[in-house]
Amino acid sequence: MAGYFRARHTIQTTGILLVWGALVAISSTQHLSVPQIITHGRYSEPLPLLAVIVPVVVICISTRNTLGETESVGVRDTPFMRGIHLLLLAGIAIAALAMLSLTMEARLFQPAVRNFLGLLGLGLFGSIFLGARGGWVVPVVAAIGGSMVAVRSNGAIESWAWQVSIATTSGSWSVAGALAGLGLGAFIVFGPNDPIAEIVDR
Amino acid sequence: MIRLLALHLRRSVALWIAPVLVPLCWVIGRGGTPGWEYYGLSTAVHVLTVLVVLCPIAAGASAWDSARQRRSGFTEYSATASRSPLWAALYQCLAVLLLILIDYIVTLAASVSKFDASLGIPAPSILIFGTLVLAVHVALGNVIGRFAPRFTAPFIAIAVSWGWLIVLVISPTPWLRNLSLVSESNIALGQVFARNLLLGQVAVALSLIGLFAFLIEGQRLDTKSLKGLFVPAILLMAFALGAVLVSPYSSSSETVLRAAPSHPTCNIGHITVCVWPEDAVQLPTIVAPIDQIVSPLLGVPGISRNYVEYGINPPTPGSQVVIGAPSPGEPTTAYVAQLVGLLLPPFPKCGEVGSGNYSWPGLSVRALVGAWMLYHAGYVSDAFMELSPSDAKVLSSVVQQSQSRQLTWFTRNMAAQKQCTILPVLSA
Repeated sequence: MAGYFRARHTIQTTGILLVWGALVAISSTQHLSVPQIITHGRYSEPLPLLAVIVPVVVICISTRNTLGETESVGVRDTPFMRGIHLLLLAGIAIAALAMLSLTMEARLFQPAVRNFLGLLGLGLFGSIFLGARGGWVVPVVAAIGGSMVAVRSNGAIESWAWQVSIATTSGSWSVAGALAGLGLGAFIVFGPNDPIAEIVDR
Repeated sequence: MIRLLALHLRRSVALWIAPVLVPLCWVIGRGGTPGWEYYGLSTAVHVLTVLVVLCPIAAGASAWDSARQRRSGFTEYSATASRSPLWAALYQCLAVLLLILIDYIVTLAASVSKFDASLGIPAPSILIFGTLVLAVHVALGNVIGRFAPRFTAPFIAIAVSWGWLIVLVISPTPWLRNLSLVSESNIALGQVFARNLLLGQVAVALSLIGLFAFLIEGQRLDTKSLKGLFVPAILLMAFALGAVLVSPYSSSSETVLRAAPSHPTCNIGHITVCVWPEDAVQLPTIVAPIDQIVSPLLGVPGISRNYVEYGINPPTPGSQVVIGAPSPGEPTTAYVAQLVGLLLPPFPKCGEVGSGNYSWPGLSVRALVGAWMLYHAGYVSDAFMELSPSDAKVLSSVVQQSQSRQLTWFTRNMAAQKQCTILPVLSA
């Protein structure tokens, strides 16, 4: 188990997640707004969405096996290890984001957790096809792209934009939960699409 | 050279990305708020909004292309090449820039196709500036691709580029805000960007491209000697000069009055309406409601005969009211209501009660006076729509009076809009 975690730089990843959580908490009072490219409105509370991009990207990349063939020919139950590894990192990321709940903007913690779960599911799903180091493309497109087109000119949020809404409705939680479940499940079964030859070459 | 460029065009990841972005760029180009006036400069500024999408993607693609050599393990091979790494970077950047420019041009074509192109071509200087901003982000991506972890470099480039565009633009510090190089101004007919602002931003963009080139070439330069530091020193000075030039301009002061046309398009009759040549085709649409509202009131103190667009000098003497043209798709009733608002005198200084709030006797009938003008211009239902039930009753009783009594009521209440000592009257 320890070897599996070491091969994926779990300690470094944990460090990045905790530092990022602290940075998000410190900067939570800065009010960003994202311009809308089609309606010309503004998305005025993007923190719960933008704050989770880095944890999702870091976790997706850290699922890469750096041991190559050594691990691929091993007798360990790799899907089980993948599941434990991901759940641990997801737990650490949520704990890091929980620093947000200690600030004046504590209300943003819940939507941040929802977005983290949904986008992580997308990232893991992407990793199955694009590899661990390419899986980030899908959640980044969903987060940044969504943040620029989801708000109408009157300030209302498009019904499909589960990741943009601040209100944590059951609908948005359902979508995020479904994405997280599907992404995690598929990733545990199939693993990232990293050809062994590429891993060995590094 | 052309063959080398063709090679880079074929192998650039932007070759796959650019076609995917075409539909999105078309939608962005066709988009726009109802308040968007169509003319050359405003169309060009509208096209620039696509940069918030294209710049991060161009930076990411550029980072991917420049990190390719490290991904494929050719770093030692390229390090021994006699040719400067700047050449390779130049071709990589040029290939990404040319491919992403296709999307930029699609946005421009969509914007122009939305309105009648005969009303003016989009301002070339602004469009060229947009291309320069795109080039800055491509160069940024190339540098990140060389130094950041090879597989995550595209993500870092996208994050840095996008962060640059959306974080700086909301900065309360003007010079920092203007370094985002993207303006969010709603530029009106009769306004142009301040020349020093544009010059400063061009200086910042060019010096940044130079600094990025220096970082790429830096391994070969002797940066320990004074001679080696000469180039970055010059580039940093150019950057500082640009930052100083843009520093005086806040979001409200970055535009200046455009030089008035020597021959504005005018309709001269019992009232004079003058517009910018770009709005010449809209002149009849503008004149008709003004005529409807103003003609019955001519001679009443405070009612002007001159109506001009912002920045235009009226050819006939007397006071003037600054008007605007109807926005594309704006309903006539909304435009007329806006005109009525412009005909009312501005809030009197004596009525200011602090922090932008006003209170004076005439304020209580201001909505009624506007509604009365709407009623007499023929917009009966719109006149009553904006009123409270009690004001609606007052208006109903006023409009049943004789014409002369109504004019007396109107004159008195218009005077009450200008002075705090004149009390308004409710009944005619």
